[in-house]
Amino acid sequence: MAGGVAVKAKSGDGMRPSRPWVPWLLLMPGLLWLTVFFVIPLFDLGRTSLKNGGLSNFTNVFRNNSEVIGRTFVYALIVTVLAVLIGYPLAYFISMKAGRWKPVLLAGVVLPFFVTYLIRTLAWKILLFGGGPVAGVLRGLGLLSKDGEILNTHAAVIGALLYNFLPFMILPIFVSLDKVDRRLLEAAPDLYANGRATFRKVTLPLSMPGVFAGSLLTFIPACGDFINAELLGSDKQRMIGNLIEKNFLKEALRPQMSAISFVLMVLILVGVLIYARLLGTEELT
Amino acid sequence: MKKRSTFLGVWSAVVFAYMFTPILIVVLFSFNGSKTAAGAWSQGRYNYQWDKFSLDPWLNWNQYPDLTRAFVRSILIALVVVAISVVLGTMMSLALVKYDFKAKGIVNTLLVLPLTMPELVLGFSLLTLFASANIERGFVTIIIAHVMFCVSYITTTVKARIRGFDWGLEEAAADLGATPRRTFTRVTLPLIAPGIAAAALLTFALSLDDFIITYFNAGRVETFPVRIWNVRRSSIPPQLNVFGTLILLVCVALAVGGLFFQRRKLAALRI
Amino acid sequence: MTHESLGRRDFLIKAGLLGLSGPALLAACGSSKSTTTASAGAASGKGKKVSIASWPFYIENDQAPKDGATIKGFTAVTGYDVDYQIAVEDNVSFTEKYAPDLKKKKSIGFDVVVLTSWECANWIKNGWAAEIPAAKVPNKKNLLERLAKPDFDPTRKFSLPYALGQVGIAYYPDKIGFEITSMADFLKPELKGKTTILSEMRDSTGMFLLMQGVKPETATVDQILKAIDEIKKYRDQGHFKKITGNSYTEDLDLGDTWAAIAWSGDVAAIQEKKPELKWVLPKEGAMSFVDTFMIPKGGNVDAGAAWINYLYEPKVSGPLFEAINYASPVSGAGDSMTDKGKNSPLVNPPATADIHEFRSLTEDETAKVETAFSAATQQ
Repeated sequence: MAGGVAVKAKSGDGMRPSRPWVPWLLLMPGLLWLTVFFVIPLFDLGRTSLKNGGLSNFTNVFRNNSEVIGRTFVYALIVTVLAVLIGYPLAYFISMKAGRWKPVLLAGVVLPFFVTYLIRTLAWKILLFGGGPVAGVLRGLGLLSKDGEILNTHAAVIGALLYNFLPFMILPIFVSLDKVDRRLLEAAPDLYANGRATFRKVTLPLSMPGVFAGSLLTFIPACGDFINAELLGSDKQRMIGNLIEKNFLKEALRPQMSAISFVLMVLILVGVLIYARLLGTEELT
Repeated sequence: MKKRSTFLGVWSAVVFAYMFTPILIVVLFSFNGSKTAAGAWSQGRYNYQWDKFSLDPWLNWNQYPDLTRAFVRSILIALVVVAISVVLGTMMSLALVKYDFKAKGIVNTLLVLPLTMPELVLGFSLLTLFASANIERGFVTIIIAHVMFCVSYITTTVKARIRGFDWGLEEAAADLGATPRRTFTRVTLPLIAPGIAAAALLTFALSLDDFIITYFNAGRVETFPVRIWNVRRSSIPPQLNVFGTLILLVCVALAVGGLFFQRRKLAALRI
Repeated sequence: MTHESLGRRDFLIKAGLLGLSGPALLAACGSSKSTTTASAGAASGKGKKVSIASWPFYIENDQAPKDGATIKGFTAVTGYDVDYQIAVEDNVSFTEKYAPDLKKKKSIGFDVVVLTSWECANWIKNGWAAEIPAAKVPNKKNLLERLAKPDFDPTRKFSLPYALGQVGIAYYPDKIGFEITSMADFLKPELKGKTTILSEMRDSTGMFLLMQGVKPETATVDQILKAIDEIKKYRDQGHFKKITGNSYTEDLDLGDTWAAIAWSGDVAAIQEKKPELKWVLPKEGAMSFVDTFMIPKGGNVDAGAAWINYLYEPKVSGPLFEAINYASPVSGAGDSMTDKGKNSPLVNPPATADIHEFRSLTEDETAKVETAFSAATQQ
């Protein structure tokens, strides 16, 4: 026992157990659950994707749906870039300028999560339809023609995706900005001429892990979403998710649908593992 | 310097307006009364256009029993999910924080992966498993699916909260002759309880709100979001917004309450 | 639909005049002997439920159908609780959703489904429809003679029509600035991106066949494929905002759709809130359909039969169809309608209307045509 305490003091993050099976006993039920219902299904997905047709499932599904697949990644990319551009200044403001309002503003960022996803996406329909408030304002500003539409356009789907995933960008950036040592920033003016240089040379590099984490956390769910495209778009806005949603009950198409989600999984897995390798897993949660 | 602050302030205000407008709309449209008489076709069909302010949707919150039933069902599912995943997740986070052992990195990665996979992949792959194992989808499969991603959330949240605790207290208790069980209930649990409570709250909200994973594995069981999805083309009544607003209010109340409780506890500790 | 008619129907129920037959009627009037009969009937149905899968706008008050006169009356008379779900968006997607269970001979959870006649033909051929016990549906005798012997079910053993409807054009004259009288008008470039057509192959293709001067009753496969090509041409030009099932009503109700190929009763329902919406049968001719009851295998046959039998009562069918603005397949239903229903061209289509039916297709033809249609409308 005493030995355990001594080890703990050295390693700082946990002690070497006197009985090595203790941690495994604690881990087992959860690990078992994750193995059976998370890891094995991914293998099953791979297996199903090769049923009736083998690798041709992959080539077929990509050939027949290249437009939808391409659109999905373009949407997700635009959403991610916009989220950085919009979210970074806000995260910066909350971290550096908000003072005692910091917790309140942070709570504000999380607030949309407290409204059911489908309901808050439906709210966009109220805002965007032809006779709705947004169209009215845009027409008043001369930005939208009398017959112009917002619903059933790329802009509507991208805007709603951005809305739904923006907090995933803001929070990690905030966390990494908040960790920046303020003494560094105080010392910076002595080294650099102006605030802009301080930001570029000190703050921005230190917050990059947050930007990367936020980008993954925004890009990934945007890739897999079908709710925004279904509720606010037409068939010209369909994404990979809509394809799978439409066909998931058809057993004959299951191998092809598995193929497409398997590829999606591998791409994202690679991205996440590279990230974890370089920057650790802390900020992804 | 000053100019930059002003710009940041205005920018933040605009972004917050973007984030809050739909929430306002959700709440506002829970008070959308219909100009047409009861029983008219337009009643409860598409709650997209403002008619007039009315308390009717709140007073007749149970006008669409299928929706109410789905809502209650979702809450029951969330409670079961929280119960299971809190136990599993807390055990895992204790193991990960208190002990050093090989393969810790792998376990950590395994825990993060479900959180980074698109729900589409999680839901659909679980569906392929249930389909190839010939398992009927329904209540049980929904709970299985929810616990799968909630365990990860709980473990990572609790882990973050209890890191840096002085586990020496446990040994002290043991040295003083406390049984392991007593040590756990009197020392360990009080230490980790606030972290667990926060994680449980988060999990409850996640389970209640989950749609994509649930949808693929629900069979014919309709949770609240699945019900909304299934009737999205024919029934979007203001009562939907009533339930949405209720969830919002409860979450805000719990979050504020939690914050307040923590403040008081901290204040007490300082004395 | 008018509110008076609803009020009148409520009154009818309250007066107990909606009884199915003698005993029930007497029961409602308070005869002690028949009360026992009625309550015995109700008791036998107690705790029992009938689950119905139907389309939007297909029963009064379909958002809270239990408040509607038909279901209230049905429960009062039979004791059955009703679980009414608006579950059908279009025939193909509904069938696809439940086909895996139907193939495995598992119950799909519904005791009655309403699908269009041609889809019923598929179900019956696949053995997915249970026999409707004639003994439990005595009101079957009220079926209109001309609907009694379809080629897919010559003795109406597995199917009974629920409603007859028309496919026409709904449009907002104030938004488009002219009146639509023909399919050619509907396809004018001014309407680009502001129209919707139906994902039902027969309804949409039929309208294009008629435009090309071909009768859908006798069209050859080549002619049908040519009409589908025409649809594809307009779709590629972006003329249609969406090609959907019954959810076209959503954008039409919002006013984002200016003109739509639509189903008759839906339009009447939307007009209640949007009186400026107009309905027209194009001069090239219009399509019609017969939506039809079936009891899916695995469903509760007694429950399903009770529902179907109740709706074949002319006194029930009349006010119901006046309310939903479709034509009833029940003879004598018109006698229980007000003048408004009797004079409505939707409820009571004039014999002179140029309305067509799509011919039945062989299995090979169906495969060819449906594949072409889904390629033209979905890719």
